[in-house]
Amino acid sequence: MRNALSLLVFTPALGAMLIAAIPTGAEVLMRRLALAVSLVPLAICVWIWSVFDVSRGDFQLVERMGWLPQFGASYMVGIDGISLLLIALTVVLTPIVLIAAADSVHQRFKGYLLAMLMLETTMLGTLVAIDLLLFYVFWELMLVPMFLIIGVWGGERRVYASIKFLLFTMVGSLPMLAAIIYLALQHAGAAGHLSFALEDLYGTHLSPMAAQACFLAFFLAFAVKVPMFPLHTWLPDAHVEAPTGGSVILAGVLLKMGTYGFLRFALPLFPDAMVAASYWIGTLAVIGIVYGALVAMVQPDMKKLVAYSSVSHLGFVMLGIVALNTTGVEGAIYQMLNHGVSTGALFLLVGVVYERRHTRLIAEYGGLWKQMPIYAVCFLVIMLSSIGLPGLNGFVGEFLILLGGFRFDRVLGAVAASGVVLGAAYMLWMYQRVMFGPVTHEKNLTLTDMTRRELATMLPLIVLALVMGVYPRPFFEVMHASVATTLAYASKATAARDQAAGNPAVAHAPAAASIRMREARGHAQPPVGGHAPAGAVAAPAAGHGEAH
Amino acid sequence: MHAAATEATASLPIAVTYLRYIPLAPLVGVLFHIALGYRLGRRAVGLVGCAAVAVSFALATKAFLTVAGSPAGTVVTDNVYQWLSSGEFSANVAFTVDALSSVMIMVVTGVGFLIHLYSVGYMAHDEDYARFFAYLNLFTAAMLVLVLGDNLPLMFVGWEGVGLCSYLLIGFWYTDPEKASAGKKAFLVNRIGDAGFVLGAFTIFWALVDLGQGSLTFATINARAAELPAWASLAGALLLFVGATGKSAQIPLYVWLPDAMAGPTPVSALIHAATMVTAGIYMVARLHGLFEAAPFSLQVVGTVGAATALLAATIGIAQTDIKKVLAYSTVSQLGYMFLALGVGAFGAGIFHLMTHAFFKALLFLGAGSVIHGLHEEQDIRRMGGVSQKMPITHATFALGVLAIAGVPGLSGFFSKDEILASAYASGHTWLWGCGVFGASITAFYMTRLYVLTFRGEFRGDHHEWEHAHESPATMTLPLIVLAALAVVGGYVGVPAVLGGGNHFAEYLAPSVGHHQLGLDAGTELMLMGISVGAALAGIGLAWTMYSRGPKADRTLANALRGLYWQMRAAYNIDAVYDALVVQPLMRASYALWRSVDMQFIDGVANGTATAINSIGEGSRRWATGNVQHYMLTVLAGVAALVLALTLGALIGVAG
Amino acid sequence: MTQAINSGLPLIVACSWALLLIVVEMFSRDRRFVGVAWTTVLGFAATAAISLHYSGDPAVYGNALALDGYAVYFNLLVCALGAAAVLLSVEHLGDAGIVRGEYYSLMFFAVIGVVIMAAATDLIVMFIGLETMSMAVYVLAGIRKSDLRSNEAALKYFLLGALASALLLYGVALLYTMTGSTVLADVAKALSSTNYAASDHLVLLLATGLILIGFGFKIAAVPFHLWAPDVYEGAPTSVTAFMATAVKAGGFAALLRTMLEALAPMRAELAPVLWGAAAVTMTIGNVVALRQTSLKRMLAYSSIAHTGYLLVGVTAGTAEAGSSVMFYLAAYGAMNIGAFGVMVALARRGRGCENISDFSGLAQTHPALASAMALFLLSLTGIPPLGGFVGKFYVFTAALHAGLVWLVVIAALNSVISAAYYLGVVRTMYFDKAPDDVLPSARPYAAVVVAVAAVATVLLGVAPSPVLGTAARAFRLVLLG
Repeated sequence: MRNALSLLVFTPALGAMLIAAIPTGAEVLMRRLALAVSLVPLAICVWIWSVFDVSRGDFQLVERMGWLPQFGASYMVGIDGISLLLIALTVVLTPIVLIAAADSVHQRFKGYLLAMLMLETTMLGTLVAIDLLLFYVFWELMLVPMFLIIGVWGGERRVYASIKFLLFTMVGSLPMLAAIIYLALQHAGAAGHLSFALEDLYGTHLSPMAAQACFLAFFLAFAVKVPMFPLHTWLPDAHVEAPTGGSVILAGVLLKMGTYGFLRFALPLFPDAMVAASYWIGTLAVIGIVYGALVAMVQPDMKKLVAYSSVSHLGFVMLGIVALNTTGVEGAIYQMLNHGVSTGALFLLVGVVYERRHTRLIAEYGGLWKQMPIYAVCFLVIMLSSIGLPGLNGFVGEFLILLGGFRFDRVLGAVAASGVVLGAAYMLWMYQRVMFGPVTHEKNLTLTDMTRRELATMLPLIVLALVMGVYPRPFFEVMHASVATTLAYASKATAARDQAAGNPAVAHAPAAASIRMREARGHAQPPVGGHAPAGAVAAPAAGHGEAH
Repeated sequence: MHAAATEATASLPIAVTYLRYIPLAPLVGVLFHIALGYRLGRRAVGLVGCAAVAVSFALATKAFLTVAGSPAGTVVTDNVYQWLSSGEFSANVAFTVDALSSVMIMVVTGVGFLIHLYSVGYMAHDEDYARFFAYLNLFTAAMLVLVLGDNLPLMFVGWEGVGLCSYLLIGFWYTDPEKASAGKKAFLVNRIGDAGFVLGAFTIFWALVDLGQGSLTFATINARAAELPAWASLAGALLLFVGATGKSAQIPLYVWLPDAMAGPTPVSALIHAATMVTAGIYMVARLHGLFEAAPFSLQVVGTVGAATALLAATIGIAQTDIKKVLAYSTVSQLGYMFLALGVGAFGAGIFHLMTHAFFKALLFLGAGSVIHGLHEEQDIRRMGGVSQKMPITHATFALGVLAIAGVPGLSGFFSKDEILASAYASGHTWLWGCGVFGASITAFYMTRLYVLTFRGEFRGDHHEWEHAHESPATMTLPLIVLAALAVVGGYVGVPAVLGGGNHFAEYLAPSVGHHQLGLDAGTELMLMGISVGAALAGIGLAWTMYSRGPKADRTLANALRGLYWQMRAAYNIDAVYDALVVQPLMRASYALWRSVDMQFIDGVANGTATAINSIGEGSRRWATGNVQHYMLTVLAGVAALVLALTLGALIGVAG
Repeated sequence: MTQAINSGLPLIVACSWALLLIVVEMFSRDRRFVGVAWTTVLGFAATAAISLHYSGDPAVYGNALALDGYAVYFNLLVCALGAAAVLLSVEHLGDAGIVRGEYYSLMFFAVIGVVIMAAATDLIVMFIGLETMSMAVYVLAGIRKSDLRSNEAALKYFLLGALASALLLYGVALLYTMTGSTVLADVAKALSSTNYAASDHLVLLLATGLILIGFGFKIAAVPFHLWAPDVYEGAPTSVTAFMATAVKAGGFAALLRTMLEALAPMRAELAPVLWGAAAVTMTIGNVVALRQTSLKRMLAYSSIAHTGYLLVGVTAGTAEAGSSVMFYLAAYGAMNIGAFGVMVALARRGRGCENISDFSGLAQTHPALASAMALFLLSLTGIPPLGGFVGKFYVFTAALHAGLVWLVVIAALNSVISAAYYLGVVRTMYFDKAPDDVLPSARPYAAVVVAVAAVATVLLGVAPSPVLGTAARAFRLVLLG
């Protein structure tokens, strides 16, 4: 499996072409084929996981091909632990969404399947790209299928929502393109040749001003996607209008691209600027946590509520990231997965009743437990996962983020902890209004419980929520080395920051952790430190190209 | 440090693998109920539900006997697997039984089993039988994780787990919006405490990391608490105590507990009397080293405990719902336990925790039996004379009342007395005074409750009376067992002055340290006399007043004037919280959404779009189609260009 | 001598072919002139083949012309665009109600004009090329004689064009008085070696300014752009397609060579003006395009906006920037021809299919056409990995390399604005319901052009290296020569 990653990325697109050839009308065939196609990346992902060397923090399974030699841009893909986890999330959610499509998509079915599969390709591409230009290509391309999914299969205000989604994101990403080019040119000025390969650009020397400007551009692109307060208002609209599957992918995977971007690009490329801005970003993140939760509380629409809860949850993730300590960052990565699972499931659940009643207003429901006990139990488990009940997945991420965030800044950590209370408040209140009490609407008396297909979409997520809460170790093992590598890029700057904040002992924590880890695994590799840990990044094709 | 020294001797862990089955057994029960419960029917559910807890009880007994039979300081451990690990932080799923937790698991599984048994009868007619037992078993499992966990994060799993079960059980009859609401309230108030819990844990963890030993096991925390910087131990202890006030219903977070009485009665007994609410006390005792390292935190604990004890007791006087009286009495008794912890008498606190579990479970189950017998009647003003119809319930209930009132010879007497004596001995005279006063109020309202319920004439309607009956054996049997425990449970801790060996305190000493009273026998006996006198005064007053029936409430109201109605309304704390916290929060949230999101941010975004559009519209008019205009524009452009170039050149020349 | 003939050969062949076309058209019995069209295409092919074959020769005819890589690149490009426009015309002439055989020879003459402009190394020759092209296009724009609007637009175009030509010529004359030459290389030499007095310098500036205006008119830079929407709208769609791509390429071919070769010594002084022109042009183009309901007008404004992006490259003024502009023109040509092609494919007599609303629900009635249109629009927006993206990326890179950070930021933000209207069309095609009177099926010729343009748009994005390389080489040679 020399080209495992390419195969992973392009299988859905190839499958989409295959499905495009099926004449309209053979919907069942299309559906099955799409599902089968989407299971291939899942299988590849399992294989990748099995050969993935968790002790290495560099890029693995690297593939490189010439693409734009004039610009030094190449088709270069590779993964580390962080991307592997998000890839896993993507390949798990996509089949689920395709299964759910049968219930939630009533027109232009084929187009929907095509859009979903293309979306999967672009998402996976974004996650494996380790050439900045290639990354940008996938990043931007990702917008198109999502734009169509919201716009074609969306609700009443879908036009407004889709355009808003698109413009918000593009306002963020185009300045990033300029920053990418600028960065490459700066590197070329020093190295003598243009290159967009991530490994070349790490450690590019920029003047502080330039670094801050570039970071700002990257920040904007990623912060819109996350979305961070106050750039979040596209999200509730997009979610409310998007079809169920669109919401699941949007919340489950797309938002993570922003937080992933911070870890993969913004932090290692501009460590000083990111560290310098960490308090500002942390503050925005915490505002997002509290604000999102408060506003979620007063939403009359279930989907909007869940959308605002995403703002709050992603605030946690951002807090963990800017904490820039192992605990915070690992918690953040884990929370990305958790959010994908639990919020994805929540959107599916909202979709279940929406398909029956064609309303998402909380006030239209009540007493559903009586009518739909299985549904109520599923909802309960997922809700508990979302509010971070220990024993379920959400807790692990939230706890580690808060732990790391508290180390980073006590006040921010403490305020963020209040988000945990508010999170429980809006969720429980919604749950109470939807599930408990007498059945007040006559229409709800005839509601049927979840169908087998709906259960099939839900059970994997519930199982994941449980497993990830009880036995998170395999997931953390995958990310340890990569997180250490990532943090090492910023170790100098973080050390200075933490010293200023009076956390002497943890100042060298990332580096120390990486040393400890490497020693534990018997690696003689010298610890990474300094500005640009050359040893930490694989030289492609030079032996690191393949795992085993 | 005294505590550290005892900890050091406790270095003989016996590694076993059976501890994990103690919480696992009820968990299997949960899975059984969910998967098969509705198919296999009530008998199977009841059987499995009780059997699961029985298994836990058996294993708990085994662990208890191992600890009790080994040299002091022995602990039994079961390290299952590493649960979390990230950076400096790691936490294992590891269970430990030492003296302290051995007592706890015995109480939890023992009382828990009785309550499961009771539920078989009590819930016999409920259609959601399996769901109820699933919750009950889940609760037991969570509680066991809470007390068995050897580190704070694992304890937190149980901590939140019991909160969840409480939420589910309170809202068990979910079709009633008020009950569902009460469940939510319980969960949220607990969550506030939980936020304090985790922040406290964080504070301690990072302080320990700075000491070079980042760990959240209880052993490490207690052992190194003294080395922590003063601010860290104090902040950590106080934040954790915030968590305790949530779970153990202390000021200011007690408000959920009275509402929690909405749940089925066995739930109240199990969760809101015997087990869950003691979690906070257990946690403080578990972390005694930390709290002792920050003496001010103990002052806070003791003061809050005493204040809560008194406040809740006064509210208890005026309640008319049988379960509400018991609820406030629970809050009050928990206050006593914190009072004990606050004065450093950790053993006394745990002692009271245990005896309270017996008699309060008994009282709740007895109340449930009455409610069951009177067809869901809960208002004591509409009861009376029930002793005739329900002799067993009556007799056991009476014993419970005597125990809680502190009548000598019963369990409550010994434990409460030890608390009060400790408070006095440690120089907390004020706290002692509060305790004594509270004890007499307790005796008063419990007697009132008893008299109004069981004595005199029945005041409800005849139908109820005719159908009133004694409860089935599954219900009365637990009552009898609990009554026995309520009577004899105190004899494990008879103080030396009364000729006892105070075995209980000694047994606990390796876990929580031994609190020496340091009082001479005369003083101790005198203190005992005072508290007994106070209790008897309370009993006597209530008996004489309430023999006349509920009318006596009015006498009391006249005597206390406005205060009485305040008590009846529980000082309107809920309304105050609602007005000060809930409403402002909701209004602010709504305002934020409308103003920040919709008006400001979207206003800016849409405004930009509109502005760009209107520029476009304006510029579009430029294209009039009139060729003269175009020509003019071209010439203007020429002029502008020439001007720009010339200016540029001039500036260039000048520069 | 043979060398001179070789270098002039493409031009000679093209001119002969144009004359031949007039004859062929006279004898054509087919009222649709399909044969003439194919002859025209053949002529383009021949011109392209010959220029490719004899490429690389230095300037000849007294340094008036050069068949260097630069000229060949533009020859190939403009022949391809011309051929595409011709093929679009085969059916469209009928749909637009035009029964005139001279149409094709006019188009051929316009291409010849561009070929001259691209090869000219002398400002006078360049001017001749410009006028050759313009004259032909003036007529083409008004070829719908019965359509008042079309006539008015053509007249406007002619009047303004004449004004611009006059200004350009005046500028050239002034430059000649200052430098004593109209040959680009000599002008550059004179400018860099002579030390001008302040007043003379002002005259020089005036001269360059006027030259800029002359070209600015052809490429529709603000504020010399006002003719474009009216003319684009008034002309038959196939002509519009030709104007938006080939004519624009010609304008830039001339502008680039003039700016980067002859006026290079004055770059520093011209840069601020160009900077401003680029910023204003793209912004006005994009902003006004937002408000259009006619697709043709929208594309007209969009083409103004793209002029702005291209001017960013001109402003940067480096060899890299020059080749980026060259590449951009190719990508822009492909996607724009494609977009107009879709309109042509759906147009019928009496129903031009020129409004955005005409495309409602196209995705359901004509999925293939709609996806092609979406592709072109996405490429115009600059969504990777399509040709438009690589073009924009190349221009941005060159501009950033030249230090034009803010201009690139403005261009980036402009792209966001452009997304709003380009994707507005996608929205109409995909989100809206199809109207009851469904559009007819696609015209086959046009469909083929659309397909080829789509493939080109994708290829220029995914595998642009050959074109990129050619552009880069061509430009380096210009500056060396």
